[in-house]
Formats: sequence, structure tokens, C-alpha cells
Amino acid sequence: MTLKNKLAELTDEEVIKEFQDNNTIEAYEILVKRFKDPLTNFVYRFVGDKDVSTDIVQDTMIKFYLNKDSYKSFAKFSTWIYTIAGNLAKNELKRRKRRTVLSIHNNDDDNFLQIEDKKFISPDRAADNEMKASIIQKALMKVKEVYREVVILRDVQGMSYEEIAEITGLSIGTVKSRINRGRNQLQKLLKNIYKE
Amino acid sequence: MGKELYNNKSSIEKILGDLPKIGAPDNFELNLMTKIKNENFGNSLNEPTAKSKFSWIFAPAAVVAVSVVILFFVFDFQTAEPENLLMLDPETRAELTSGLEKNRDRALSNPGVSDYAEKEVGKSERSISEKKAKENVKGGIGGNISGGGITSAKPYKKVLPYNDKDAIDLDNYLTEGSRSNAANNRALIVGGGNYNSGFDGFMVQKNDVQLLEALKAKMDSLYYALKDSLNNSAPNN
Repeated sequence: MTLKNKLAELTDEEVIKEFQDNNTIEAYEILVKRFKDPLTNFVYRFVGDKDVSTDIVQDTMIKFYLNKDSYKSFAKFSTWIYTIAGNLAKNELKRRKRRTVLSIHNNDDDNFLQIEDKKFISPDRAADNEMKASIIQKALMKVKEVYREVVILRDVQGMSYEEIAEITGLSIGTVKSRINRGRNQLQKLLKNIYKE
Repeated sequence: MGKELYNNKSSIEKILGDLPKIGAPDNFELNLMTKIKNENFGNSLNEPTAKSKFSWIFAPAAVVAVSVVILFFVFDFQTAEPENLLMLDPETRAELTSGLEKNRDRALSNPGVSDYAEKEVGKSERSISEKKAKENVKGGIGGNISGGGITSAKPYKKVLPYNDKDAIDLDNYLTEGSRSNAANNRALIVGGGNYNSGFDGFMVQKNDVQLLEALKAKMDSLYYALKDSLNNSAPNN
């Protein structure tokens, strides 16, 4: 049994401990493999741009590599890495806001929908799904940033309230109310979009 | 796409959950490992600087500070600068102090004032000279200590506004080197041998009338102040 196979059977926390203690690059690679897709999905839904989300996840992984010792074992590794990715995504949105204020044209609408669906679906259904996804993503981008983050973590990523509270640094009550408000906003937006 | 899909809140959770999963590109790991291998971390090394949430509070204070600095340079608040005696050039100061000494001597020569004034002035002079003597002994500066006072080894030398090295013998220059002391000869300007021409030579002196008047006024005021103080403090006979 190779080292990589052995490590693959361990939990996230055990793998990062191996990386912290022995600087085992294989351990790092395993964690990258485990989290690259969920993080990309989360960041993409949050910022709405595939290339940007890929860059953010790369930066997240580099930060993780450089600051591995700042992870403390009492926290879940997933919440730690999601916090880093979330903060980087928020920074990107701030930067984008500044750029939007400075530029005359807002081309945000051009950046929607770059979906990769590897499953085979008939062209008609695929087009329909693509359109649905596009509408939902558009609506999601119009939801307030503070609500959007928690709604994505809960409904897209399927995380528990406790995990979301840990990632965002909010209380569980605040998380619940923000999710509720976010969903309400999204519902209103989707209704309006449908009317159009 | 049914309208009811967006009307039910529980369906929002469902449609969000059903959104297609976006994955990382195929070359994600390769790019990442290449970056790490080449230590090409880009902006990842730079931690985002945590800006203080209250930095805007200090903005008015900063504006006020800058305005004060600008006003300080634009408006000269010190319109009348008092003249400092220590800032005067040595010549003027020497003249002033010699004038003061003369005035003091004149005032002290007044009958009735002299006894008391001599006592007071002598006391202060003695204490100053003793202090100076102590300092000179400590510092190893050359000076003759005699009695209770000190006489300076190097007296003040008046600096003349011309240089001896650059001076020329005018008589010699005018007679083209054939100078004689004969009385019927051409008049001598500077003089030679036993003959004294009584001519002191040329010296251009710039007289700043305003400065001289100011100094005169100052001297007068000092003189009268000293005189008054001595008159007031003298015991009535």
C-alpha cells in the first residue's frame, strides 16, 4: 500500500496533521483533491465567474500551503479552508465593486453562466437546464452579499448551521435569520425574473 | 419552467440544491503544484491589510492639522521680532557693551548713588568672575586668575573691514616707485619716513543709518533705565 493510498483513507484532520508534522506533500495533494471541486462550486456561486473562482481557489490552496501551521486541530479542516476561500471571494467582490464604481459600463451580465455538465443530457433538456441555472445564478448574484454567502453554504453546499456559523464567525441565530432573508430575497427575484 | 417552482420557499432550497456542480478545471492541480514548485505565489504572500474600521474618524483631525500647518506658513504671526543682543555681530556688540560700561561709570560717579551702587555691582561682578574662574579651571582654558577675578588671556580683537595682505602703498604706487621725502616734491598721501601726512587712507564704510539710530535709541533707553533704577534704589541721604 502506497503512502498516498494510506493517506486517502484518513480523515481531513488526520491528513493535515501529517502535512503539518512531516511536511508530506502527498498529504497536501490529497486535501487539494478533496476540496478543489466543492470550493470551486462555492466560490463560483458566490462571485459568478468561473475563471475568477478558479483563481480564488488556487490562492486558497496556496494560502493553505504557506500557512498550514495556523490551522488548529480543534476546528474542522473543511470550515477552516472554506473560511479562507470565503474571505478571498469577499475581497474579490470588494475589488469588483470599486472597479464598477470607477467604470462607466457595467458588464456584469456578460459574465453569467459558464456551466460544465459532464453528464449526457439530450440537447433540449440541456438547454432548458442551462437556462434555469442561468436564471438562478443571475438571481443569486442580486441577493445581498451577506445573505448570499450563507444561502450558498446551506442550500448549495449542504452544510449544517453550526458549520456555517463557524465559517462566517456568526451566531447560529444570525445564520438562520440570514438564510431565511436570503431565501426570501431570492424567491422575490425569481418571481420578477419569471414575469420578464 | 413552471411558475410554481419559484413561488414555494421549500422549492428554492430544492432548486439551489439541484444546480449543476461546478468543478475545478482539469489542469488545476498541475498549475497549483507548478506554482508551489516555482514558488510563484503571486499575491498570496501579501496578507490583505486590515484597514481600521475607524480610520475615517481621524480624517477631520488630519484636515485640521494640515490647515494649521498651512496657516502657520502663510501668515507670519511674529510681526515684531525682538532684537537679541547676543545675535548681533561682534563689532556692534562690543560698541554697545562699551557704551553701557561708560554709562554705568557715569551713573556711578553721581554723588549719593555711588556707595550703594558700587556695593551691588561689585557683588555681582565678583560672583560672575568667581564662576568664570571655576569654569576655566575645570575646562583647562588658559587664563590668569588673580585675586577674586579673572583676566582673559585673549582680549577681544576688533576685526577691521580690510585685509593687510591686499593693501598697497599708495605713495609708492602714485610715484611709481621713486618716492622721496622732499617737501617740494609731489604731496604724499600716506606719508613716508618722518613725514606724517595725517591722511588715514581710504576706507569705505557702510553706515546703516536705521541700524545706528536703533542702536542709539536702545543705548539711550538702557542708559536712562539704569540711571533710573540706580536713582530709585539708592538710599536717601
